[in-house]
Amino acid sequence: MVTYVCLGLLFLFVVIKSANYYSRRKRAPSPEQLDILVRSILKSGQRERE
Amino acid sequence: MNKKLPVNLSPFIKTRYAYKKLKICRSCNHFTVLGDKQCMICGKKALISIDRKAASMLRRSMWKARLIAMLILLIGLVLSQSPMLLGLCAAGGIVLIAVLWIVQRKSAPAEQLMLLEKLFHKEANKLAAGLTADRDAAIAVFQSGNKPLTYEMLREVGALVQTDQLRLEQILLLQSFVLRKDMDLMLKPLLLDHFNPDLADYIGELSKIRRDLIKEDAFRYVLMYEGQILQMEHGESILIGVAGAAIRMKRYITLYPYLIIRYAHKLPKERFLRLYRMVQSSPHRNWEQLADEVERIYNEKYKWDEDFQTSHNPNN
Repeated sequence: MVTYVCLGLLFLFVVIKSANYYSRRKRAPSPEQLDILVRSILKSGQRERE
Repeated sequence: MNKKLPVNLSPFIKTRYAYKKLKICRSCNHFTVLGDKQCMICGKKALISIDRKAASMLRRSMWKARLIAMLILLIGLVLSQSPMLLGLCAAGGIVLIAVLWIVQRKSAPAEQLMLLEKLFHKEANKLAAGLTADRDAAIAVFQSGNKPLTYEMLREVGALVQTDQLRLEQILLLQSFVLRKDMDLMLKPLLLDHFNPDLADYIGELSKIRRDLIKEDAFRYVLMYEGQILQMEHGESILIGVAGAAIRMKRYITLYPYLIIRYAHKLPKERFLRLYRMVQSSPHRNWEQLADEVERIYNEKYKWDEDFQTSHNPNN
């Protein structure tokens, strides 16, 4: 019985993780967006410094 | 008069995305674009590229999920009451872990970008402070008298931090060097949104040694501040150089014909010959005013010049 529960748990874990990975794949930023993000962080950092 | 320094500049290593220039210290999480291995804050040889950092974070997070899956499988195996259940649990578990592994491998590039985004958001202050420290380090090097190294450091910082002050500092340093054709120079990242005589001078120098760097942004800059450039001591020669650079491509001739018309009569012979040949070889293009001006200058100055005779077509 415990074995079935563990197998079920493992199945659920893999399904949830996979779904998570798929949804994150769609939401992942592009390298261009990361470039923009870094520049905007640095720009606001510069403004604060000034 | 300031004497220009003959210098050797190391080539600028371009990355496809500017953020890839970033390095981070594994020990103190200090961000920098300078240095190879040693962190300038903690002094440890722990600098790694931002991609390597993201890859190691990704490995850790993926192994965490795999270990949880393996732990569940192990509990199932230990507590199985018969060999059949043991076999079933082992087979099912291995298949599920393999599926998880495959999904993780497919998601790795996107996950890495997500982790980087998270890291940049989380460490935004450290990121800004790191690049500020890099600029300060460059200024300290300048004060110690090493101008070429200062320029190289500012150039690295400038790949990410684009402020007028940083651009100006780079332009001023470049203007203190003897510029050569073989140097790794740049113009587009240094263009300002206001008139600056040092920048105009720099453009003028580039028009002599690296015409290929003068592109549309630079032409627009020169056209916008043509009046101010003309008031400079060597302003006209800068504009003649830039007009000469516009003759490099037919596209620029089409885009900036009036700039060329205004300075065509003062172009060096070699540039005018190129312009003349381009105009002659493209009668179908809508360059009437330019063609008239070129013809007028040709008749006035080069009609009897041998170099022009091979290209002259009286029907055009």
